[in-house]
Amino acid sequence: MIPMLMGIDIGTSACKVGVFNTDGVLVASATKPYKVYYPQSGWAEQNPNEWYAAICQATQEVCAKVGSENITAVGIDGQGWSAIPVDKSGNVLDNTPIWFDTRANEECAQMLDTIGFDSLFAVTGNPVTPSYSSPKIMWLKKHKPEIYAKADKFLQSNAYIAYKLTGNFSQDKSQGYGLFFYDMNSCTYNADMADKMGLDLEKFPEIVDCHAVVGTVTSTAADETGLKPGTPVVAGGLDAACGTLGVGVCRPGQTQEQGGQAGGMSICVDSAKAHPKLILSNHVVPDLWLLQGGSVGGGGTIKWFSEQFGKAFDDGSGKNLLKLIDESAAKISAGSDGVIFLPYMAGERSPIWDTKAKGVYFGLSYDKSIAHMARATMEGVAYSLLHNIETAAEAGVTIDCMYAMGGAANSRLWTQLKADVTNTTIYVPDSDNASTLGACILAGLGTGVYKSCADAVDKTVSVKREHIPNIDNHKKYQQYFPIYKELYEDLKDTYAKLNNINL
Amino acid sequence: MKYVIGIDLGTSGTKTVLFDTLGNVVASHTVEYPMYQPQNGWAEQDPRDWANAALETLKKVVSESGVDNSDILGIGISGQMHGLVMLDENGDVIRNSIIWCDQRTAKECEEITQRVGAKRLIEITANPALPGFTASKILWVRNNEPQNYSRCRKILLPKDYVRYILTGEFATEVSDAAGMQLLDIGKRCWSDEVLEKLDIDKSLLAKCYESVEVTGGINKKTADYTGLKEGTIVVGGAGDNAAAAIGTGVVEDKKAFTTIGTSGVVYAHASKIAIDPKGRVHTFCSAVPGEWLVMGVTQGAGLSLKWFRDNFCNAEIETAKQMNVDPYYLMDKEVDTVMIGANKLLYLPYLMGERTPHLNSDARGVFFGLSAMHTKKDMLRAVMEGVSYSLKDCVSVLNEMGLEISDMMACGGGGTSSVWRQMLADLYACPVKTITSKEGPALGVALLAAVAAGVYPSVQEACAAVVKVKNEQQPVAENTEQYKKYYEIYKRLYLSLKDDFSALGSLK
Repeated sequence: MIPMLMGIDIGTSACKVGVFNTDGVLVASATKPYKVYYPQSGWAEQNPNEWYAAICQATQEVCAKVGSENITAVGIDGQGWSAIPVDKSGNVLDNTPIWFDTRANEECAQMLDTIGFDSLFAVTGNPVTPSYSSPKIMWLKKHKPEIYAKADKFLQSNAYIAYKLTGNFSQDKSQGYGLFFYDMNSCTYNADMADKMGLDLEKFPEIVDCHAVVGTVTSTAADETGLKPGTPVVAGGLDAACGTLGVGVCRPGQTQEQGGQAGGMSICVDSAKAHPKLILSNHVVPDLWLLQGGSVGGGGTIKWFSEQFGKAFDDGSGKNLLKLIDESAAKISAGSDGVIFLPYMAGERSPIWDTKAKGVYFGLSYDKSIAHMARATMEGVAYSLLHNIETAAEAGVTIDCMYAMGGAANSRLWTQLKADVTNTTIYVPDSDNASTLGACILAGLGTGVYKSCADAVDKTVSVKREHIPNIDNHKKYQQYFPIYKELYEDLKDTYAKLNNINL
Repeated sequence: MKYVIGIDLGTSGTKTVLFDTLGNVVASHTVEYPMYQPQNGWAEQDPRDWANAALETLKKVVSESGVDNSDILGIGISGQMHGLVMLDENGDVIRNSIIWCDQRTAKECEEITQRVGAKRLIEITANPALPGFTASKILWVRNNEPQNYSRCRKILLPKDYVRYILTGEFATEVSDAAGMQLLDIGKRCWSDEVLEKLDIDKSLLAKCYESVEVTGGINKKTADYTGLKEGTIVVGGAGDNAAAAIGTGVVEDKKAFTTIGTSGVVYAHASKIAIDPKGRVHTFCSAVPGEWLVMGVTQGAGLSLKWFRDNFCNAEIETAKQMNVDPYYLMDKEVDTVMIGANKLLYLPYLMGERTPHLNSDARGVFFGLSAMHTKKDMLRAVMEGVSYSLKDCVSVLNEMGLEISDMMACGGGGTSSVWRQMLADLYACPVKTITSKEGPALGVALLAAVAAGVYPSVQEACAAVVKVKNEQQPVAENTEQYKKYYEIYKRLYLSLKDDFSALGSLK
């Protein structure tokens, strides 16, 4: 019998369950959707019971295929910044606001007011944003005090599923950064800070490593999921961090480069090096951290471009439009002859943190074609990546190489020009299931299947392409990048003015 | 019935129209000719092509109309401005004409500025040294083809060369001469100071008339060939834009016209001279005696829409082909479904740099404010609005100079779009109209001939009798308020991005 591991991913629109053998080969998988609720503008909620119900369907399906007795252990990765109130028996007391819910604006302002940015940053190593878990819990305490009072624990997404499987509460380290009283250096709760926020530390579970076994599958959970009773379950962690591990990032200097709907990067570091404009979390790999940048425009920008203008590239060959756009853009020289795109299509996150920012095509002239704009679109996303990397360098963090993740990595052109813009080699792993693979690696590490994460990565992650930077192109991009950065500085007041127009 | 003829010497061809004195078209004929581009940025035409085209089209309209040639009261010639025609002592063409869009003379422009002085140049000629204008072309020939220059005995503008062929007279008139950069615009005569500083012999230049004055009559050779009566009067005529002003009835203060062609222009009539000391707009002599025209130019007007169509709208082009309509018609319909402000998306139409008001060849096109909810339709509307804002910029400069505009005519391809005209009406906050006649410049110079022949006592009265309004779009106050907010942002954007345009420009 080949040992197998199960990874459960709690995404935003669906859950995904994947079973891998210990060589990293996907044996079976299933995806089940669930809903996001938008009760008010700026709010976005999910019902954790619906996550669990969907996961049960998926695990039943997968177990039927591979046999639950063949599954050695289970790992879970989940969306960040949940705040799930549960009572002593683990009943969900309210929907959880999810990662893009911004209702807790006032709580953030209040925190900055009473505690101050510097004190907060010294502990958390992160900027204060309303989407994080602790402001949401403060909001709940203020607006629904009866639920706050009744809550025995507040759980993260993966911890809730781990609880449903094992009956044990946990808080893994990689999700700790969502709590502004989590000390990023010592990886412990800071009681003083929790106190200042008016939050009761008893309501937060014990902090554990992501690969720590939190328990085994209970008989109830076995009935519901089709898993074998007694199967070990590890705490798991943040989806992005698991994905980062799943593409092979497990040593300092290695960096994950993300081109899904959104874009971003996670640099693996060996100490808690923070930057006020970046995000710092524990990696799911023990004793390592991830310094992260998140940009709004990732793969989504080219999807938008293709939806609006794809037809203009259609040559009747029946080829995929994205492929055709790629082919046209590849004919344009590096730097798009001076067309520069700011990919802030829904505001921008790090490092500029401006919700009012918008997309811009700059430098158009009559001799520029739609192919210039296509290439500029890709280059703009690459510049935003470099902008984040450059910001990390301000915190003394440098990168050695990158591992690509997400749909954008399917484009050779796009990946190559990211390598050229950043002057960094990019590896493209041969798997589309990085997050669930990362969760499986944690399960394997916690149960002795792997000696270390590095050992696991060597066994499970294979690289299908390697993009080495072209130095001539890099030099060209270095000329345009300062203009890219300057454009935002020059436009930010006008963004605000545009935003203020009442329709 | 009596008749007048207008000849319009364009860049792609010459169109000659025989009108009755009420401005109705009786016969019309066009002959095309090539443009030569011996090098990138150069543009030349053969003046003999123009002469032949004029003779052919005159012959055709005379014979086709079947009118008695003694009922043809006079002829006016309108033409592309700025082109340089050089004749030797026998009146033969020395070299091809270097025409208005030729860009080879950047160095000569510096030379002119240096010799005359930037401020003085604007004071006298009402314009900064520009490669389009004739003076720099004359200097280019002197600097680069001295043997041609030494043989030169007469310098003429394109339409004036045709006049020479038709009448044997060396003559020009103020509206066209104003585009040579050698005329004292205020005094409406050759500037001895500029000629002296540029070391150009005044005897090379033709006698300069007012546009409605008679400059001569059809000579025997032309009469024999075309069927015109010998001695039929030929009036001064006008440069193409000044002729279009007459043809659209822009002959008194507060009247102006907007042309959306490849570039966009706003022309306003000025009974008193007005010169922008910053050189952002051009002041020319009007074809109305003793009056002026002030012109703002935006480089990428219709060009922007054409660029967008050719790059982004192949679906519209396909559909239009099947429906047998113009793609612009479909694009117009799409634009009309988007609200003012294009969902907070703006476009700067600086695809070719910008003249009015920025005088910046490094300026470039920009889409600003894109978000994932925007569609191609929003971008399309943003393009038309952006061009409209740049035209509004022209109007703003004119306003700054004390020229109020309460009556705007719309011309050119873009002027046929009611959606675009409404944008202009809302932005300008004044009615925007089109006229029934499609013969703008040809009609304009034909009316000058009618005035010279005594059919009408003045240019104004000729226009009042002949020029008829076809469409009239009224500004909607609510829209004007909306556009104001976006126009503020539009203006701000250029200022915000000016340094970035320079930075980009310096990379090449």
